[in-house]
Amino acid sequence: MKSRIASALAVLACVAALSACSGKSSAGTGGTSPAGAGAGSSSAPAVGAAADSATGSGTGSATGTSGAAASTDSHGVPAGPDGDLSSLDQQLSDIDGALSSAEPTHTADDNG
Amino acid sequence: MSLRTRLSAAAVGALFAVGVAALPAQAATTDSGAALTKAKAAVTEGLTDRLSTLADLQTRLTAAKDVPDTARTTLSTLLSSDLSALTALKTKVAGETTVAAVRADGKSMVDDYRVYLLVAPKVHLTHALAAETDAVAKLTKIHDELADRLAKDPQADTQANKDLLADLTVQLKSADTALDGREQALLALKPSPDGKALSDAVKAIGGSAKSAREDLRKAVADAKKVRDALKDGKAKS
Repeated sequence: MKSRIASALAVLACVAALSACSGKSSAGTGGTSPAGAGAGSSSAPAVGAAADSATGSGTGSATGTSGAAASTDSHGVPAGPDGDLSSLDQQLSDIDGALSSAEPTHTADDNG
Repeated sequence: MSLRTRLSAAAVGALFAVGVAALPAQAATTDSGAALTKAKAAVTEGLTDRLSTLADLQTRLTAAKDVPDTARTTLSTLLSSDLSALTALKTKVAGETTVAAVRADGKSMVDDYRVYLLVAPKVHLTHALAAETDAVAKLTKIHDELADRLAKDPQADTQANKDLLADLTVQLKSADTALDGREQALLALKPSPDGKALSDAVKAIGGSAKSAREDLRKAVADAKKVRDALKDGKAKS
C-alpha cells in the first residue's frame, strides 16, 4: 500500500515537474535566449513595429512620404504626393523669386 | 563862386567818384563770398548724397548672396575706395577758398567716380546677371528632369510637351547668349568725363540682362506647363 502511495506521489511529482518545466519553457525561452527570441516569429514584428514607430514614421513625415510611398510608381517615377513634383514647384518658385529680385531697382542716372 | 566853395565842391566830387569806383569792388567781394558759400553747399550736398548711396550699395551687395566671389571682391573694393575718396573730397571742399576750386572739386566728384551713372548700376546689374546665370543653370537641370519624367510617363509624353521642352531649351540658349561676358564687361567700365558713352555702355548691358530675364521667364512658363501636364497625368492614373 505504501509503495502504491509512493508511486502515485512520484507520478504526481513528475507531472508537476513536467508542467512546471513546460511553463518555464514557454516563458523563459525569450528571456534566456535572445538569439532565439530575435529569430522567433512572434517577437520580430514587435521589434519591427517599434523600429517603425521610432524611425520609420519620423522619416516619412520629414520627407513628406510614407515608407510605402517612397517606392516608385509603375513609371519608375518616385511616387510622392505628386511623384515629387512639389520639389519642382518649389524650384520654379525660387527661380521666379530670383528673377523678380533681379529686376532693376535703379536706372542709370545722367547726373553722374 | 569863391575858391573855397570850388574846393569844397571838388572835394565832394572826388569823394563821390572814389565812392562810386569803390562800390563795384565791394559788391564783387560780397558776391564772391556768397558764391563760394553757395558752391560749397551744392558740392557738399552732392558728396553727402553720394556717400549715402555708396553705403546703401554696400548693404545691398552684402544682401545679394548670389553674387560670385570675384565680382563681390571687385565691387567691395570699389565701394570702399570711393567712400574713402569722396569723404576726403568733402573735407577738401570745406577748406576751399575760391569758387573755381570748389567747381573743380564738383567736377571731380562727378567725372572721377560716376556713383550714379556707373557704380550703382554696377552693383544692381551684377546682382541681376548673377541671379540670371544661376537661373539658367537651375532651369537646365529642371529641363533634364522634366524630359526624364516625360519619357517615363506615356500619358504626358505628348508632342505638345516635347515642343514645350524644346522651346525651354531655345529660351535657355538665348538667355545664355545674352548673359555671356556681360558681367566682365560691366565691371571693367571705368569712370570718365564722357557721361553719354558710359550711359550707353551701361544701358546696353542692362538691356542684355532684361532680354535674358524675359527669356528665362518664358522658360519658367514652359517648365510649369510640362509640370502641370505631369500632374494631370498622375491625377488621372
